[in-house]
Amino acid sequence: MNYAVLEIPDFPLHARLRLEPAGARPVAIYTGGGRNARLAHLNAAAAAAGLRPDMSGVQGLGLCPELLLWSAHAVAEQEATALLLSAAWGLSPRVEVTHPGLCTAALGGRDPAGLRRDTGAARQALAAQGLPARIGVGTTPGVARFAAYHAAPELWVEDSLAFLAPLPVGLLELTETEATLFESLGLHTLGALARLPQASLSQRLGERGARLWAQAAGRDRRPLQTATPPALHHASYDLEHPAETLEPLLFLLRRFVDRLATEVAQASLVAASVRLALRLEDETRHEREFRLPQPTARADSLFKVLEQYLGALHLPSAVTGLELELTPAAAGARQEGLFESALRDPHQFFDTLARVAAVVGEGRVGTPVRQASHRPDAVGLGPPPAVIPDYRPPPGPPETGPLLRRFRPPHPATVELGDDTPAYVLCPSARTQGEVRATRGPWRRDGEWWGRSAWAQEEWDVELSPGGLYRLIHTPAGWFLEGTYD
Amino acid sequence: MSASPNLADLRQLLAARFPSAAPRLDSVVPSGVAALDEALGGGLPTAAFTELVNPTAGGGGNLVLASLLATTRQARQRVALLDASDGFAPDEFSPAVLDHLVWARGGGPDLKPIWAAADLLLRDPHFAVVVIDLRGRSERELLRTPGTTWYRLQRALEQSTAAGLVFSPGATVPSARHRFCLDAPLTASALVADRTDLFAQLCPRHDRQRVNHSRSA
Repeated sequence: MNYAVLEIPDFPLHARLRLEPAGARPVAIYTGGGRNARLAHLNAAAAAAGLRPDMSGVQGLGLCPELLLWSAHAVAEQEATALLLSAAWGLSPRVEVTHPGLCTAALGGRDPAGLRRDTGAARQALAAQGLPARIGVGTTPGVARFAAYHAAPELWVEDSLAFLAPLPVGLLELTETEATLFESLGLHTLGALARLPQASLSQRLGERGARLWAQAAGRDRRPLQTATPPALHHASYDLEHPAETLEPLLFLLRRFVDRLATEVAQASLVAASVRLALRLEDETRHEREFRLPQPTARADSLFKVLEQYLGALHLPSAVTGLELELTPAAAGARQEGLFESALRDPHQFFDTLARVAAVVGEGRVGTPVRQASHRPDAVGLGPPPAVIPDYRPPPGPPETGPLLRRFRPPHPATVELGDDTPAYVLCPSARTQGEVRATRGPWRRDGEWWGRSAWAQEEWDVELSPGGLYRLIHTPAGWFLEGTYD
Repeated sequence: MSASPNLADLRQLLAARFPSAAPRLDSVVPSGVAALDEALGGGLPTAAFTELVNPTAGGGGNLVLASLLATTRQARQRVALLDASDGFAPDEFSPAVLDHLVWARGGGPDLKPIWAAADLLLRDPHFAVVVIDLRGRSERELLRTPGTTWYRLQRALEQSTAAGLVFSPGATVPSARHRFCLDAPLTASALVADRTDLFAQLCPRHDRQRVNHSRSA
């Protein structure tokens, strides 16, 4: 067995239905335009409604008013072709896109048992994407193609001549002249054509005759025009109607992610980041790049990142189109240590954090990161490290005193002074008041005096008479309780 | 009170047949506060809530938190801090001590997001301790929270390997296995004391200990 052909029957129909599911409604893809529009591909519901290929569009709508009459969709077909190629690359690295919806793979050297397993997996992968595939395997590209045409859903041809002999000559895609000639000669089957001497057919029809004879005899050998794996893992789609809800977007994104993840995995790579761009009805764009906690080619993990982000996103207008791009990277191999403290499942961990962020607010979850400023409370949040580093005790003298618990924002306070130190504190918003039993300070701090964000404050640590240690600050705006020592 | 032999046998049988439904065998996460760890038999129990009530300002709740963060940091265990009133001050800590911390900042007027976030954090298997800090929220507001919320969180915690620690202004957690009270306020002399000495001086009062059935069996 030298060649395999993967074919998706009614390719334009299935390609479009994959991105725009119609449920149980009858759908037909038409060719031609205006009054010349003809039904070309029908789904089961349309066939059950009595529609037949080659009917005019008007006839179709007359017979079945609820018919969805669609044109072929170039982007949908590109997406489906990319999936078909990915599936074919699972059989062999040498794959040709012979026609839309039909790929030929050169199998040279593959063992039949492994090949059967892989063809089954390829069909399942395509079926999961809404693309029912037929696979034919034969000694030449032509035999494999005819086998795919007759497969249900798989056909392996052992004896090419016996298989080809009863097939009609019409399968050879003859011109009108050729068809008339063969009819007049009484050549109705490939077997009858193959029994003629090849030279006589060449004499009459030239090189074309020799090629037709080779196809009929199962001897058509030709080099494949092999496709190259994509360098960019990108998908783009313009919606027919602007999407105002999440469901249609998520449906499309799932389809794109499935295709792109398959492509990336096929190239033995993983996705390091995902870029999502949404085109909006108000002619603006919303873009976001997601760095993945751990590069992956798992479609579920990639989709979850997008799903969570979109779930919490509010856009000013409806979405008219979307783009998705994966940045591939080499998959790293890592030996886990005996005392490893790395994340067991980084995707689950960052998924939890994203969900918590959706609840408490974007940018309000993470590991505290000190900012390069002496301003009090100058901390931000960063992503938690995948591996907790070894602990090294901070240099310097031992830490002293209890730790501050901040009031954000600080509570305004009224402070009575005695000998220039706080003697009484009243802070209704913190429900605190009392005489000052003991004080420490003041500590004067300031910074960023060179800019508009200049700040200055005087800090006092005070113990109030009912109990409790507080930090009191005096700023140009007045006195405040900054927090409590606890 | 110990369970009867038949009851113990039945519990063992159920635990063997339905391991996912059975309460986990106890392990602990040391807090680093000697008095607390001693009262708890080594540290905060996993799969259970321990509540630390802070009725007064300056009771030492932050010292317990600092000690816990230092201990878990050395053990390279992850800690989640759900800060309901956004009072945590990371600038008080050395940055090296916070590498293992995930800080979720609350502070909104409603507590519902806090319960939803707690539910998510308690279900994640990567955390050794999930701290829910309710200090700064009013007791009245906390008491309005249905008890079922805490039992739901308890069910989530029972399925995890994390220890749950709740700082509250008053007794709040009906499902807490242990409840301690920190009601001795710090004085000004604490401001210059060595912090490790302050950890050692903490003496929380043990107010509640519920029997753990899996242990008694």
